[in-house]
Amino acid sequence: MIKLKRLFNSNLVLILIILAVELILLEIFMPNFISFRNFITLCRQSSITAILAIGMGIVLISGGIDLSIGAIVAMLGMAAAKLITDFQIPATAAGFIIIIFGSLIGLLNGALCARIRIHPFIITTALSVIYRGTANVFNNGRPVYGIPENLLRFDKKTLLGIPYPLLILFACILIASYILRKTYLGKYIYAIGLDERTAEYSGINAGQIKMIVYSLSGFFYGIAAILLLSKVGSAQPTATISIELDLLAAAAIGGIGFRGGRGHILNIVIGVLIIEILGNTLIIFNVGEYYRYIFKGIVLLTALFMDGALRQNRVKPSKI
Amino acid sequence: MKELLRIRNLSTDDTAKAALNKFRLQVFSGELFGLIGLNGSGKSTLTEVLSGEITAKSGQIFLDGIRFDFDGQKISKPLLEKHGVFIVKNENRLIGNLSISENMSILFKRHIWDLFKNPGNKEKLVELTLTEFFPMLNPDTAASELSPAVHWEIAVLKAYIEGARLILLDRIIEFCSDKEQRELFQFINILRSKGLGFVITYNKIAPFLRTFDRTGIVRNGKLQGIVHQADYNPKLAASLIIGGKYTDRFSIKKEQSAVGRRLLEVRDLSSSVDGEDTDLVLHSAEILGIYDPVQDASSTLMDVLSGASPDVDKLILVDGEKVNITEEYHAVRAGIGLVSDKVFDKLFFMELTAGENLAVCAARLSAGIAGHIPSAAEKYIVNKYLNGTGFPDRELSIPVKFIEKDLQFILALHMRILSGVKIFILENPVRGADLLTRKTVYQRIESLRKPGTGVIFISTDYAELDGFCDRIIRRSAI
Repeated sequence: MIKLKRLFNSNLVLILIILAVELILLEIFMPNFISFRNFITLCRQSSITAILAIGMGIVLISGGIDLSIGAIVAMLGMAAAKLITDFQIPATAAGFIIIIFGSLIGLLNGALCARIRIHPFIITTALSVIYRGTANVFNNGRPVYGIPENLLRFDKKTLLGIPYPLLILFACILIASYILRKTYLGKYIYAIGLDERTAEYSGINAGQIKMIVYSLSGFFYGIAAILLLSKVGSAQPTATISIELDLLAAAAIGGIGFRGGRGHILNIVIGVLIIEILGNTLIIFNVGEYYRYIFKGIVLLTALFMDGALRQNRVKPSKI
Repeated sequence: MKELLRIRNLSTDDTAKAALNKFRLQVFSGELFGLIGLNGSGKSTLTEVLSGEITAKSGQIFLDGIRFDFDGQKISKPLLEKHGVFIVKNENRLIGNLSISENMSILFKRHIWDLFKNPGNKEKLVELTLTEFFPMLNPDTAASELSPAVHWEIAVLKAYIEGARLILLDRIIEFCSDKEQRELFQFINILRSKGLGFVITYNKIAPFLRTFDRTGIVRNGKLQGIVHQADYNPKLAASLIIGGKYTDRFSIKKEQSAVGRRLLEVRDLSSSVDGEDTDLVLHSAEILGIYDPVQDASSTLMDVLSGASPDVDKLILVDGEKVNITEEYHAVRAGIGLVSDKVFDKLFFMELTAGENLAVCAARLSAGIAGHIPSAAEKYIVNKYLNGTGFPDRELSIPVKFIEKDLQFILALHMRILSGVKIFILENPVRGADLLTRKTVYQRIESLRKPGTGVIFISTDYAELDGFCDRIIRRSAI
């Protein structure tokens, strides 16, 4: 009974209800929308955003925020394309190099956030300008073309009918969930998200954990950058501009919130799905691009409001 | 004597387990009334009901003889204040960056047209009142520099200026030192001579209860009885509070332990108080008491061990090995656990339950290869561990911020134990705890007297240390 109560109090039920309502509405206006094929296509489309959301989710749980995601992904994509086209490095090797590079960039972000006592919001915004600038420097602001065929085919490949990007997403969810739920590093990430000073008094080196967190998120950005390169077929210095808004909205819908210390990675991935379906719905109903931005902002605000309301209801004092 | 407040059949719930169950109380003008009971007996609930924070399910309150019925609604604080009943709580604080006189002058109810008048006139009146009652206090002192006891005294004075006839002091005396208590009672006696009545809640038996006109004993949300000044007997009061026979803290057996190996040594610590280098040694299986009534020397020690003063000259040796403490987390890593009332808020993750708090602390030690925590180990910590230590069941599933402070202390101790701490430094751990909880806490500390573990117990109360410490050093000796 208590478990049932806890389930209803959790965000998961709420977001599943939102997802169900969305799907029912779509099914009414577009019969035959709900099908396995459509679902797989949708998941494939959102897999890159979902992998980025996992990275962002871990940072948010640790009480930080990373607004340089879009710029990092663009920079990593440009670097990968340059490695492959100019230096003739095989795509697989370039992929691994970029993932390691992503982790190092994350480590740098983490080190700055841990050492400089300024809110990561400001630090990562400043860094995003640097990364975006670097992305432009790689090819004088022009996109890089000439991605080899084997990398382009990677996006289209399937295993038992499931596309590779989706399989990678599953792997990322498993890795992130395992780290967060089953290791002491995960416990410490939640702990510093809840209260950094308390964590320090409990013997946790908050600065070190922060560096690991940002580095871990950089690892996921690296994976997403390679997948994006494979999907788009070229590296764009302007890629993934303002993707942070989508990710924050997904995090808010997924109940991770911005105060840190709570939430689950799976929820943020479902949050991404909801945002993606909403986006698709708006396109189906011919809503203009600018209006879509307004709508996204409203969704983010509503999600935050709902999250706040749920949070207040959830903890009830049982004191006399 | 005129009746100021009468409460009849006040209940917060219909069930027999209600925090207040058919509570009754009658207080007269100029009276000093003590409301004594263990934590959780219903004293604070009464003040919460009276200040309109908790709904009264049923009951009547008589203010100046006028009857007010309560049937599931909240009591309005302005109504109570209109009839001269004021409540001063433990949480009452002045605004930190304003001076005392500024703080007090903003209490006067202003009309919109007063906004353009010079507030200085009121401040003069406040300064005059302050000089009358607290000649030693400078009205220009910033409130942030004052001790909590002064904040409460000023709150009482504010209530007096606003026309109070009955003031209820909730959870205040237990957080005052002996000197502060004496000062507060002096001030209360001055106000009583002017006809004010006082209801004071307290959770222990103390000598000053003899001076109370009447003492009401609260247990399980009911007024169990009223003891008049002439009939007051501490043993009777203690038995009424507990509802059974009471054995005092001296019943805890003090064992003479042989001096073991040196567990902690703090050398060349330059104390900010007297500027002299001081040493401190803690042996294995020892409980070392530090009597520090002014809390100056011990705060230097705490700052040094918590990494708050990395620049202070010192040499810290744990088990003979030098350790360097410059950050908060270094202490626990070195095996030193600090439980101080000054940083109490920072000892727990307030949003988590007790078990979850323990799980965080035990994470590192219970983790295996690649940091993996086995599910069974986590389940044991979250569900079973605390239960085995006698932690009440009902407190296990609620966030720590809602559990009693005394239980929080026990939790803090277990959190440190699970973090692998060998040296416990406890600063005023039971300040404000009731007598039963104190006993439980003392027993818990006593259980740490084993080889390889040591406790430094810092307290402002000598009698408390005398109960079970192996050695006691005074402030000047550190």
